[in-house]
Amino acid sequence: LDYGEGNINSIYPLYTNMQTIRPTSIFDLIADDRLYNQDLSSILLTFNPIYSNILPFGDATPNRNGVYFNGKYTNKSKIILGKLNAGFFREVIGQGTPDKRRFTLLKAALKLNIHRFLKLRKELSFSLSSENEFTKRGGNSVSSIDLRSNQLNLSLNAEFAKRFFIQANYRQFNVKGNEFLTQRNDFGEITYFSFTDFNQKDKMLSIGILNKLRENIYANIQYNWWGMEFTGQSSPDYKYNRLLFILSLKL
Amino acid sequence: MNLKTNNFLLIGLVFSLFTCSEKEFEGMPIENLYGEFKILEPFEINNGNPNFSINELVSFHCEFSKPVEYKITIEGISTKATREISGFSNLIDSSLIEWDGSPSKLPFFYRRVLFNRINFRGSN
Repeated sequence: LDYGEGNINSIYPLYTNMQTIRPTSIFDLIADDRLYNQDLSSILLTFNPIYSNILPFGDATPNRNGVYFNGKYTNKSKIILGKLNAGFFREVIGQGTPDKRRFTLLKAALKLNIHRFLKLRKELSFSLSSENEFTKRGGNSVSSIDLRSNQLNLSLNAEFAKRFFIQANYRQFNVKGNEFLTQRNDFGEITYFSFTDFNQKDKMLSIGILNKLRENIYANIQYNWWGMEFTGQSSPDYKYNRLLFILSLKL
Repeated sequence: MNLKTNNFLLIGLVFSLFTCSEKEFEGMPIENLYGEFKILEPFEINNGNPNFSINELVSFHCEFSKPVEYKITIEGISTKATREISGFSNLIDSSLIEWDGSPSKLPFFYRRVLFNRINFRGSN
């Protein structure tokens, strides 16, 4: 994701009578491909700590030291599929203070293939996943950090007729705490720390019908309810509804 | 030395290089950006009645909780000469500033001077 200056949402980029820039929501992360970085860069790009503060550049994230656990479970009949990931990291060198950030990452995902359990011919499955990130830095009250984020994802997929599926999905993303956003120059050196307070809730509900026209061709019609709530922040809350039709071809 | 000893020494050298770091942290201190501004030691003038004809100097001392932009203004009572000394530090000390009686611009100081004010910028 590219959070550089001037990179705004392509769907409803402005809102309210003041024409303010609409903050990015999980709907945009799913629907807006322009938010994603398509180029290689020789410097570390700006990242938003609420979405990924622990490994914003994946395995290549610099200034991290720690362990990562990865576990998977699938029973013999493939009724239950589970995943568990946990990471415990800390900075190698502090930023703006000798105190180092400590990170904890907990991810869990569960999929229930109900049709296998009930021995139904048509597919019926339920998925649940949760991702939690905790960032802490001690030290004095000026430089201390406490940031918590939680992403919850529930989805239901039910085949009601041949090649026709009802799909429902609910996503919720909550963030609370504070962090210092890091600004870097062209040489990758830190030039400034912007103190930022977060207290926001992001929700999205989608219900729709999917038709598998062919093996690699899908038609999907869905209705989305999505919005954000901010507490103690300058951005006003917003809510949107949208009807969406997607024709997908896998080449 | 045999091959094993050499390998141990090499590994030890590599680890010692990794663990050494000159810097305590990256970037500017957050305390300087967001810390509260406090005067830790009040502004003091060392030698408030100087005799510049025998090369006496005036020095100042003051300490703050974080680096700030400061400006010391000195005014001549009779000639209205002025001298401004400015800098960016959390410490004003004789090692940093000494005034030899010269003005910032004409006219010159004559006999009596008034150590008028000290201003701070860059803090709340």
